[in-house]
Amino acid sequence: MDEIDQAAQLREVLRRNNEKQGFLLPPAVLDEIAEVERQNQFDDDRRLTQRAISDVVTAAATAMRLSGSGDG
Amino acid sequence: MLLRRVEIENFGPYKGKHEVLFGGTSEELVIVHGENMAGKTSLLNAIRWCLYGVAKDRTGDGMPVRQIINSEAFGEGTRRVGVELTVLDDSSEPQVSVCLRRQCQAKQGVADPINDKDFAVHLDVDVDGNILPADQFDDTVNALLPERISRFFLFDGELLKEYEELVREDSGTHAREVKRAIEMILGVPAVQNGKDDLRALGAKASRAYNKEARKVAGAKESAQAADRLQDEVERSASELEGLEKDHAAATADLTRVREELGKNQHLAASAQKLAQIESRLDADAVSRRDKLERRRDLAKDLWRDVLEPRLKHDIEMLERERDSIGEALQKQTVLLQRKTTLEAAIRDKTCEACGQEIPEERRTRTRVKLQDVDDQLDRLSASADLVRHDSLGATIRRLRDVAPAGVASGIEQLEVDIAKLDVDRVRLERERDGVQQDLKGFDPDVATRFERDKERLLRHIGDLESAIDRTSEELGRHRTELREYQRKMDTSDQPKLEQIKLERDLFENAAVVFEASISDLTNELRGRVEAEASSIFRRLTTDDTYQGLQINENYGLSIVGSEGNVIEVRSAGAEQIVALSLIGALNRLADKRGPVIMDTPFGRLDRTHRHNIMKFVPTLADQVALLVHSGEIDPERDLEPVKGKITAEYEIRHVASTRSEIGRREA
Repeated sequence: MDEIDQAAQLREVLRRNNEKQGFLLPPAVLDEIAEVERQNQFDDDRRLTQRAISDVVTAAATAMRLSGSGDG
Repeated sequence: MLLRRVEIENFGPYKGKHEVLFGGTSEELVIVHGENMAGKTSLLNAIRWCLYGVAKDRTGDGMPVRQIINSEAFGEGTRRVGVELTVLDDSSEPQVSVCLRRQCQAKQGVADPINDKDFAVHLDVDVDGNILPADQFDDTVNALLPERISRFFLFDGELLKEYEELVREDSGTHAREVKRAIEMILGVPAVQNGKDDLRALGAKASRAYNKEARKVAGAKESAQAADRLQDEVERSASELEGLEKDHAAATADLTRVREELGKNQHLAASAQKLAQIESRLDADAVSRRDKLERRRDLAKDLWRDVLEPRLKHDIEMLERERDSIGEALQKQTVLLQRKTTLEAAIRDKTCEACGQEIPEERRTRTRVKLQDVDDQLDRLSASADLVRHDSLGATIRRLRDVAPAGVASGIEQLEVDIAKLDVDRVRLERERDGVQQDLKGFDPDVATRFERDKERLLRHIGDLESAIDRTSEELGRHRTELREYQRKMDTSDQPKLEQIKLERDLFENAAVVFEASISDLTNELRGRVEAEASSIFRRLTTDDTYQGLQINENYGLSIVGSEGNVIEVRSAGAEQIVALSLIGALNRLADKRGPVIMDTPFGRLDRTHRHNIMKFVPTLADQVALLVHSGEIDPERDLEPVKGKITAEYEIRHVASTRSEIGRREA
């Protein structure tokens, strides 16, 4: 069957918009958030999803701060 | 998700336990044959009910538990209905076998359950043999095949009806629900939820940042102002969230009210049917009484039937004698006229006609003739008896009055009619009992109340939509102002503040990217749906002048003609082809995969379209089950395109008015 990869399409749209906005986020962080959201899109309780995203962002922010890439 | 086994107990027309086995593999095509009313829709409903606790009637409304229990089993005292599904979760790694069982049983002490509250619901779920708590049933189902997208897998005529609404630009709440379901199956919630989750996390980080910034010299004032704006943002966001929740709740209420209205309409129809049955029973009772009276009257004359052979013979004899006398009398009259003429000729000696004298020789011949007439009259004098003739006529009339006029056959016919009426009465009384059972607890005022509720909810939803627009605008304004203050504070190089700032920015930036992606993703998906559906449509349609399909905002599809023009008027068959094209496209684009079960998919199609669809069906999903009746397909001819691809065939047989059986049809 000619299946279409929904995950790839979601990543593609987000990356394009990230680029349009002037690369607001590192693409890898965006991909990770997208995958968390895609996996949990049918969950009504958002707490676990938000915790997972928070972990991704905390790790990314720490790496940025330590590498000095968050200076602007 | 792939189906492995469906076990039904006392569900709809299925009394006792019945099972349908699937291979639990991909490229599976199962055909279930069954005549109308045999139980095809009930099989689809059983799967839906097990997963989501909802069984739909012909109008798409939810059915109460009492109505889905097999009526024969219920009549024999069974107060239980259950469905067990064994499925393979092929989205998990490794794949796992999931067994889901839903059972409803009348609560203890409730002998005659009527409403759903009279039943206790038992849910069982086990994954690879490990029993999970019952409260994980819904989560497990949600992970396998969420109810909100199930309409694209468990497919019946209802989707077609919903689909027709999508094509209209001014379609209502119902179409919005279908649109939401389409966006769900396409994966749009990932960006919509993402935006909301990131906004919530960003607000939390922003507040944490303001709190930390207050500790930094020179930033206190800005931090306080940012805090106040953060309050405003959160207040507006919370207000917006509340409004959206109210909107969702009101929409859900509206759906429920519509369902209740549907059920009520069903009950109102039952009430009307009851009135008709009772009126028919009354009319039949009057007719039966009349026929009994008539039979009694006829029975009084039944003795005449005993005389029938003798009387018939006597009447025939008398008729023959009367006819013979009649002939003699007629002959006598003619001879008397002849005699008068001859006597006049002899007496007057002249011809009566020309007045000339008659010669003697001729008068002599006339005398001979006269003698002959007299002789004939003498011979007739005995038989030409007028008195006897009249007397015979009177006797025949009297005997005919006594003779039977089909008394026995009349009585026989009446008895046949009475027996028919008795059979009819028993059938009507049984039907009346069934309808009366349905109508237990029916309140005719309920429909009016639900109608009022529907109007009120529609107004409320309209008000909420206006408030949502206003609050969204206000929230945007507060966010812009907040960003201004945050920029003023972003000067400290304290590590903790720096970490929170980075996190806040990442959340907020990600929220911006997600928000901007919503419309892009939906537009792209809409384009993909249009392209996929057009490609399928061109394979299915028999009209090669059609270019394809054109999608609207609601994912409604219009047929595009040879000149690029939209075909405004579509036949029922064309609607079905377009709906199947949409379903095919959604299944190709969907992230969640599941079995497609189609109830009566060929109902409105001609032979060529059936052939095209049959060729297409195996590519629709990994597992496809078609529920068909003999009126829509000819197994020999129509199944030809999928010969060799059919993995199993089942047959539903209607063995009694309240009972069907399902069994495997051997090749």
